[in-house]
Amino acid sequence: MLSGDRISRREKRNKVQLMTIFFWIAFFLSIGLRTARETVLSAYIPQLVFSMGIIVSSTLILIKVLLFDRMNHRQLFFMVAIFFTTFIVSQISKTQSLFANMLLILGCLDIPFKKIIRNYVYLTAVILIIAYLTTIIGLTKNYEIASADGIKYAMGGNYPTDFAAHIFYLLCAYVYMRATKLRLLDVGPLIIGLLLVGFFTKTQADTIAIFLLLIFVVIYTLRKWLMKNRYVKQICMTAVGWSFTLPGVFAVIIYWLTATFNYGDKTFIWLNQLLTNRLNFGSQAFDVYGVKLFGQPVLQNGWGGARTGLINSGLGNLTYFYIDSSYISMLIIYGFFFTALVLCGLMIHLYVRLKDSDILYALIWIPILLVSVVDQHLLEVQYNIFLLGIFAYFEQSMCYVSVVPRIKINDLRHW
Amino acid sequence: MSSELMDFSDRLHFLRKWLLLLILGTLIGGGIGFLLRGYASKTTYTYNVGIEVSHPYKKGMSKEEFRSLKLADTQNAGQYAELVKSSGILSAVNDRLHSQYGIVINNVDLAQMYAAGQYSPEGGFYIACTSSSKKLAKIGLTSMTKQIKQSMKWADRSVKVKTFETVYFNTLKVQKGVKSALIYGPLVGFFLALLLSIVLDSFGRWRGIRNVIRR
Repeated sequence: MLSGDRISRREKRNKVQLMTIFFWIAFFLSIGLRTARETVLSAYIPQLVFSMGIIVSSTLILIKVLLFDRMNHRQLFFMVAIFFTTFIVSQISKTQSLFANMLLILGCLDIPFKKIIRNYVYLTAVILIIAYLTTIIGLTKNYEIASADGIKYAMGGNYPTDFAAHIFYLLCAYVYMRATKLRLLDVGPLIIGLLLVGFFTKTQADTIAIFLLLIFVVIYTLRKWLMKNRYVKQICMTAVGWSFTLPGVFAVIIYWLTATFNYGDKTFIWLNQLLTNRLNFGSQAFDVYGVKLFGQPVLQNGWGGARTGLINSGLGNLTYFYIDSSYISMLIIYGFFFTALVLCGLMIHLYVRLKDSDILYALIWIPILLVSVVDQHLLEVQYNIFLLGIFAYFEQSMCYVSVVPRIKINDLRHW
Repeated sequence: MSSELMDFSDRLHFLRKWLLLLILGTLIGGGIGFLLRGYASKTTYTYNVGIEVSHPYKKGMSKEEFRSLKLADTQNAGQYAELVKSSGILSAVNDRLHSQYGIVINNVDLAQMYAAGQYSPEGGFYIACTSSSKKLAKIGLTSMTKQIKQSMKWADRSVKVKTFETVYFNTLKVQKGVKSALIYGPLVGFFLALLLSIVLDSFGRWRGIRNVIRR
């Protein structure tokens, strides 16, 4: 009996180790290739290598989920529903990357989120540094874009805003990686990031988002001192407590502004200028494509990176069309059903994390959700690694997705 | 729903248990798809045209400059296809259709008629106009082609825009019913049956647990 138990435990441990190996290979392949593709290193990655990498990564995740993962009926129901919806939506909208993204999110079951965050920080930082170094030694080009604010540098990215977004999400991940050890000194990297993004890429949205993150980190580290005041405590707890509704709130605000946008209203003109023409393009998208239940293919031209020169020509301006807002692009490209699923899913996830008193996690999501109003990276896992938290394992978590056998987690620690 | 954990063998057992429901769901979905294709969707007509965009050689231009210009034209051809979904161009086409043919249509419906994309690595893009009216498909394509040519010339005077008359373009394609209904019907049926079987299975287990507690 005892030897049977030992064999069973050994088998379980082997299974968990295999499952973990599969996940991390898929993770490094997927995040590594996608991040590198967003930089000047993309010139050295043939399309075939990229496609093969994503196919291998998705296959490994599928094997993990189908053969090794243990889940209850509720988890199985949600997984099948998400898998099915994403599959249909990605086929209709012709965005295969969405399906691969969603597979990676589903594949995080039983994987500790802290490990995901730590590996993301190291992997992304290394790739961004290598990309920047290649521009210094002249292997690749550091793209420069002239604007009214001055010259914007892509710093090894394909576009200044992409690099800025990478820095912002990297800082978010860094803050959560430090979580229990977070001190006031940790604002140092945030200030460096803020200056880097503000001075070199001149990206307003990400600068504001990093600044907001910085404020939240200061408040979080000084929380014991701040909470001594009854009124401050009341305000902070109420604000953080309701922050789980923000995905819905931000989405409704930007949908309303975009749908009612017109050039006859001075306030709208001012707001459109403030959001660098995003309301106009969003409004055009609503006018031309409308909203479908399961999405549609949308043609977009950003004219970034290597094609920067064309944006200044007449043809560049004529054909420029890009939906920057994550909420608008999600609704138009992926459709109403998928958008409702994502927004409700995010709100439930944040609510569960808040119930688990994971306040830092909720605080980090606030600038992410805010910047997504004008930025398109909300559903891109190479940027927003926090999406992987939806199915990942959080220590001391009470959320339904982590009702998993504890033996697996113990085994993961061994691994 | 119950929180009993299912591993691979449990899931195989679950599939075997609910196989009949899954087959039934797939068949019903397939049947609905077949009916949708045959009776609930109209025959559509599609006209295509190929458009080549190029910049001619200018005096004083070096060979290298000309080569890079050609390369840019080839690379950007796919992006020019975006024009068929441009709000400004669609409004102009809409005005054209209204003033010349008396057709009244809103921009969202008009945009749904058009598809475009790069057609070959050599450069150039295609425009396709689909409608359940053969006449509207042809008129729609002609109006869009004229508008795109005009807008491109206005944006860049040096550009040459030429339409293609090949075997692949300017030909009519007739599609009877929505083809995708045949593919998505069984798929949707299968997944809905799968979701239903998960709920039923979970409900059954929960009932079993409740009976054990009662006893």
